[in-house]
Amino acid sequence: MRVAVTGLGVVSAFGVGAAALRLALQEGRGGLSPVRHFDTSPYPSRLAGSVPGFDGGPQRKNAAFEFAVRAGTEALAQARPRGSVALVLGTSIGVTDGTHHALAERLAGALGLTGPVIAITTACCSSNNALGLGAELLEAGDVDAVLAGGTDQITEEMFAGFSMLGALSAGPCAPFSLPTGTTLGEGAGFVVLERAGEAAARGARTLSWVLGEALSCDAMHEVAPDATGRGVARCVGSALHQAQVAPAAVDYVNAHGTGTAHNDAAEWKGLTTALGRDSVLVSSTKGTLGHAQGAAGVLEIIASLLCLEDGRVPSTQNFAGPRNRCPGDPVGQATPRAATVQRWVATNSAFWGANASLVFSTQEVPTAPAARVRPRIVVAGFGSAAGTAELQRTLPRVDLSALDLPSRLVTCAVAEALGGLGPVVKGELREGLGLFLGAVAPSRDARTRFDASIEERGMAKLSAEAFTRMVTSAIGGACARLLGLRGPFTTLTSGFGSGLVALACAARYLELHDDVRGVVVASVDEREEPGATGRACAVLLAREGALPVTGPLLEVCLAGAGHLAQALAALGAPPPASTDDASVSGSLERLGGVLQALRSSGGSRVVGQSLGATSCAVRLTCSPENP
Amino acid sequence: MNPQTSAYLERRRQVLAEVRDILITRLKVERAPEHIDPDAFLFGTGLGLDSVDAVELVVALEQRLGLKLPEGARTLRSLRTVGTVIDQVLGVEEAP
Repeated sequence: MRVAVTGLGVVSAFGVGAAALRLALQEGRGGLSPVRHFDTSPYPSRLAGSVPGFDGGPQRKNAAFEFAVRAGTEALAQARPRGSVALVLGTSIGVTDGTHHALAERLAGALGLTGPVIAITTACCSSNNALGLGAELLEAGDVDAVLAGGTDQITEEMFAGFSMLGALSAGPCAPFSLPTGTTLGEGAGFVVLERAGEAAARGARTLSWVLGEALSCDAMHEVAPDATGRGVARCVGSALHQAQVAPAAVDYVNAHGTGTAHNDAAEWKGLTTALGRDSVLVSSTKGTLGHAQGAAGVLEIIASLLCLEDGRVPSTQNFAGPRNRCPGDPVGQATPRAATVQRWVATNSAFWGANASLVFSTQEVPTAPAARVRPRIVVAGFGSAAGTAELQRTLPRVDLSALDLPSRLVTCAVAEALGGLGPVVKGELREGLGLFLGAVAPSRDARTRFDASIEERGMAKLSAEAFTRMVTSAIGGACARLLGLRGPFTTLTSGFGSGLVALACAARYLELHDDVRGVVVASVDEREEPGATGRACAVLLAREGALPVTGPLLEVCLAGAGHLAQALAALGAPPPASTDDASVSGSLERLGGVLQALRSSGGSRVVGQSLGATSCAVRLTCSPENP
Repeated sequence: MNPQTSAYLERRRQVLAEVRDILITRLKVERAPEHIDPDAFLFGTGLGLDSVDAVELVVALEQRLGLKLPEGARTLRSLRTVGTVIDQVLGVEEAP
């Protein structure tokens, strides 16, 4: 993968703009200050990395959007990308103003972007994940440029949730040191990504190169990481493998380093496993910026890019000696440290065991010599689920009792799609199979219980259990944990067409990662009306020959709003009579019917849809060797 | 029976009913109340709770019974079984 970063923009605890952040880092200032927009007296901490100038008033309510517009505008102004620019936005629980995707579409509209619009919501690794997906869309040739990043704002609910989980530090966050616990933060960061060759050809200044990216899932616990660090190790290892960078060649790691006892020890174990050595130059900027949730990954990457431009690496502030099972010297000082860095890694971990890693290079890397043959992807299984009462009966060997409705629906659909490989995946296959979920909101049950606990006991005593399910990725997280899916894991949304867009993204991921065998793509709709149920469906995608099951060949193409004809043309299909033409509008659910038709008649079918800001075309082909 | 003993047993039954209700209504333990044994383990192969559920159990109990459990009540030892949780509550109530 050779993707150029040609622009960046940021809104952080030091205010609007990269210049403000760069100066603050150079001077070794801290960004944590007492929260002003709500009363912090019921909580163990008063501190957060709040964006100055957004302390109250109407601006506060839409802070995540306001941050994102400013950061996105700065990044686009620096890069001036040409052609169709996609938006991949990572965001999490701080977004109270409508759904994640509504925010992404509003942002794309405000910035004048015409490419596909995808929102990623995998809690604390959302924006790292967004950069990775953006790079994949470029590698696949779906778009000309991508504005990728994340935004999030501090809310009292978030503060209370972390407080109830016992994750807030009494003092300022001190990653890898004492006291344990994290401090929250907020802000937005974006980078403009382009294919390296095209960026160079148009004379754009390249700030850095993305060489690899990967995802993984611990599939163990809603909030605690796998203490053995295996999930992090797999994620970093997979990103390095894709980047064709040897673990020994990694000069620096920008760690997630939240400051919590569980995260820091597990992450350090994972990093040392992945890199095969006991020490590496590592630091975490959470002591400086706080933990900005959905924006955390990209803020840390931008802080690193700004420091690396001056030949330095960011420091870990508030470090007062190492904690057990943590690195001894994580650049524990106020100011950045001079270092020679060519290859470096940024990694983040999140609720429900989601991990996302990126591999960067500070220098241009020659394109891989032999043009790689793009592997073929097959549709190896399909499943669907509806209703409530019958679900447990369809899956007698799996205990669904602790799951909320959308998770049950997804789990049943995924189990059916897995066929003979499931329902609970065993052995080595667990690491090779992932889950991509298209969903629009957290479960209704989580929202109800969350609100009820606040009503009954007050904000400061809200239900931690419901809080962990207020991230949309909880729906897939519970399924991945139950069925043992430890491969790439993400939750994305493009509004009502999310299932087909998730399918396209999963196909891209599989094409670009030869260490993953298959990905189950699922989508779920929970009806809002009381008493109503919901539906989920799932499709098992596999790299051809990687799993003992097979099916029709899959080709996908993503395009911006109103460019369905272009997406269809890329697959050699005629333009639709209109975008509403039933013959080309479809969803993941309709693929089931298409698969059945193909099994009886053979041949090739194209399904397309244009919903919201994203158009998606999918072709399924039965070949003699893939009946 | 000694009236003090019978009052103690009665209070134990009341707290057990509260704990069972929280487990069923808040923590999705899909069992009838009488099938949640006082000696059932909360975690792992018992009732299948985890550390986050345990926080919810403690906070909900404090709320319903209007008391504050000591910091030690949040440790794994105090949250081993349904019965050890009840011990914590009765311990607080008995304290002067």
